[in-house]
Amino acid sequence: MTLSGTGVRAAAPASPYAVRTRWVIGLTCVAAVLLVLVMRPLTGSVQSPIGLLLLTVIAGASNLPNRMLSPRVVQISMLGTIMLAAIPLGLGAGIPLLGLAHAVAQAGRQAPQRMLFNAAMSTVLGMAGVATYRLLDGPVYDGSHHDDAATVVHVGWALLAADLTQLVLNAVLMSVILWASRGVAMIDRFRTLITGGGPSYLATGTLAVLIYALWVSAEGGPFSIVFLVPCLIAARWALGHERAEDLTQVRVIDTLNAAMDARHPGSAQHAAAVAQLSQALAEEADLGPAKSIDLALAGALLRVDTLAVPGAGSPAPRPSRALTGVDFLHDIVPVLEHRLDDAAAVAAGRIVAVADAYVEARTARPDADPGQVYDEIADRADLDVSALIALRRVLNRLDPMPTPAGRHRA
Amino acid sequence: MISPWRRTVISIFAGLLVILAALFALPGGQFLALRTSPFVLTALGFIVVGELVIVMQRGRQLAPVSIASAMALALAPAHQGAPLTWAQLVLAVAIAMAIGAVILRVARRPSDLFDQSARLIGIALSAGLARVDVGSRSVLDWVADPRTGVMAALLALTGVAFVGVFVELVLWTVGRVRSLRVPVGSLISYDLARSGAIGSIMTNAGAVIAVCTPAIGTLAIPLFLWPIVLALYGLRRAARVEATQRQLVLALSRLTDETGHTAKGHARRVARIAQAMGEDLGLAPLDLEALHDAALLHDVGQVTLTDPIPDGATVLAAPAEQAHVLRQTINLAEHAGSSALVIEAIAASGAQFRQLREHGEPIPKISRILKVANAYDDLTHGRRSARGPALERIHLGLGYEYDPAVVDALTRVTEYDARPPR
Repeated sequence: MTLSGTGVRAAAPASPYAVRTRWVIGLTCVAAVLLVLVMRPLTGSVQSPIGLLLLTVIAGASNLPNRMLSPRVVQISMLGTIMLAAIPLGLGAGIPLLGLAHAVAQAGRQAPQRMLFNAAMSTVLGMAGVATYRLLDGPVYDGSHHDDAATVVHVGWALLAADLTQLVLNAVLMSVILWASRGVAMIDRFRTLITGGGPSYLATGTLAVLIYALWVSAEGGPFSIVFLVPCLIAARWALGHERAEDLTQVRVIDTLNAAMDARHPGSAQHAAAVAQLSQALAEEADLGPAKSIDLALAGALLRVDTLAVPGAGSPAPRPSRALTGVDFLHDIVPVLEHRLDDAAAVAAGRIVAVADAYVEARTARPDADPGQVYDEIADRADLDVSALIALRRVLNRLDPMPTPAGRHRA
Repeated sequence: MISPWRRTVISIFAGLLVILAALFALPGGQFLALRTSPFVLTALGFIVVGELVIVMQRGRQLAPVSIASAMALALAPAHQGAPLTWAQLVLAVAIAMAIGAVILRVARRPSDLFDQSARLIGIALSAGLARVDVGSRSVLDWVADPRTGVMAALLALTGVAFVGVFVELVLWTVGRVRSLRVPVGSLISYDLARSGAIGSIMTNAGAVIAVCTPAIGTLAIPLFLWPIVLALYGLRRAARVEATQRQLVLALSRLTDETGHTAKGHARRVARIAQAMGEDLGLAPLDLEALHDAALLHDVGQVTLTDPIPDGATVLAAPAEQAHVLRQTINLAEHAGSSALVIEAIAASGAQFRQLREHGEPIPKISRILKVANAYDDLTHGRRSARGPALERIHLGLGYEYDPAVVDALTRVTEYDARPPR
């Protein structure tokens, strides 16, 4: 989950990367064309033009805006499944067409350069899939029927291997491309692509064998895919739903921040900065990804109690209590309530308090040197020493600022 | 929420079907011979597993793996022990479901006899339709004929499976119809829209497995159940998204209480009264949902006030202050991802009824209900003893400020509601 940016990290300069981006697109297109030519003996000719046309329509249609299929933003593109299915169906030569249809469906929503890159990238991955599949001697439909379970099993595992190849190649290429065009760290991106989207990528690919089984083994022919479309859409919808969960959680934070901002203008920006710094401090303290997210949430909501009516009745209003029923904030509420009986909440509270103090001091004097701001809060006796040390390390890493001249309390 | 007697009747009917099936299937020992068929055993195994991997959708236990497996068994043409007779099939599916229910009970996880009964009836109906002779032969005979095209067979079997899945949905809807007091037709279409996607997968998968089985054998079952397993994963995620969204709305409704802007429980009381009024006026389920959410959120804009309205009673506030609260409420409801219907209901909840009567301005009925329910709770603060004076005050604005039909509904629900607002 990501929270909105705060400007703590300096924005990367765009122009040199823009030049590299054009090179990346050009090279990907060249690679795609070369691969199509080199792989020609393996892909052979298209066995069923009608079948290819049908797959092209589905590849394109699944990439159209999906508001009609789902009110939430959920990815239901079936290009991965369709491209893999094309290999055993003897339609491998049509893979560039599938990639092109899929990209063209984004017309008006994507820049032409991006569409071109997407089509070329799909072709590269598709050809890598063909190579793997043929290397494993996967059966290819040539008009004669393969109506036994053993053939389907062979198709299945050869497609799985092709899927795996595509997954790794996609992760490698995307990491290199993002490094070249945007300066994103390669190893981190590769790891994210493999662990984050990997299972979903593999699962999508395995659906290709269903198309083969119904089309070839059961002799359903090209139009039998119509009967599989609901299953394919449902499976793709299921795999694309992860983002919806994250978005809903962000929405909770966003709504509460909007309320705080309406009451105390500027507090949303403050909350976002505290959230990001708290997360960075948690990562610096090596608390693990889950705890880091929790601290980001606590940072974002730290000042929710400022919504209370000043001096209203007894017991004093505690707006944070309203959040007790929200499951994903279960571990956050004790932090917001400053509960001293909860050791984890106390530890988290110390980190968030340091982040809050730094952001507040920096906001008060935006032109001041970050090192001086750090020195000011480092002298405060109410802030935790280890959290302050982590803050210094984070500031040294994130901002090109001189090492603070100040001292820590021993 | 639920109609116990209807659920009991449906469960008893399913029980009678099983008894009837047992009477026909057990004599002769043919039923026990099914244990030698790998296809039948695999399908039954997946039914048991399917009863364990259920997903809850608005109080309904969905078991798509179980239904698709049972449909495959019901619709499979001649192959490794299939087709079963109707009685054999119903008895075998009932036993598999019962095993699943027992395992759930042992694992102390919820198992709903009514939901299982509805599933069994739907499957029994599809199996019956596939086996009944139309002219000289049944659908299964026709599908098994080599001259029948695969596409035609798929179409026919999908149709038969659809009938069973649809009937299961109708039975489930009928089981809860009493308390909602809304037209059954709109409830069914509402449930169909909610469950249509997963229903179509179950329908499709059952038919496709049946058609592929003669070609690739038992492998067809796990192969074509795979998308359903993925869909289940998505459904569980969707349920969590829905739960978080609901929790957000509830948290916002409590926020004004906890900040000290409104009296404790105001938003929830308004939601309860408004819901009762909506049911009394026969609102459709979608409108009822929107009304409930709008009522919970209608005052959340008050948290942006530094100087709170006394007792949070917007009905007594100055028009400018009311307008400010309304603006902020709409802003926060939009941030919270509320539907257009909810936003519209809140936005129009400040409008006077005369604007509709005299100028024909469109004011949604749910907004008119929300306005009256809010005014009632602002005046009573949940005290039943204040009902008379509050109704009297609201009647002063009848036809001008408030919709007379809606006020009549308020009078009825506050008088006869078994659970009066506290």
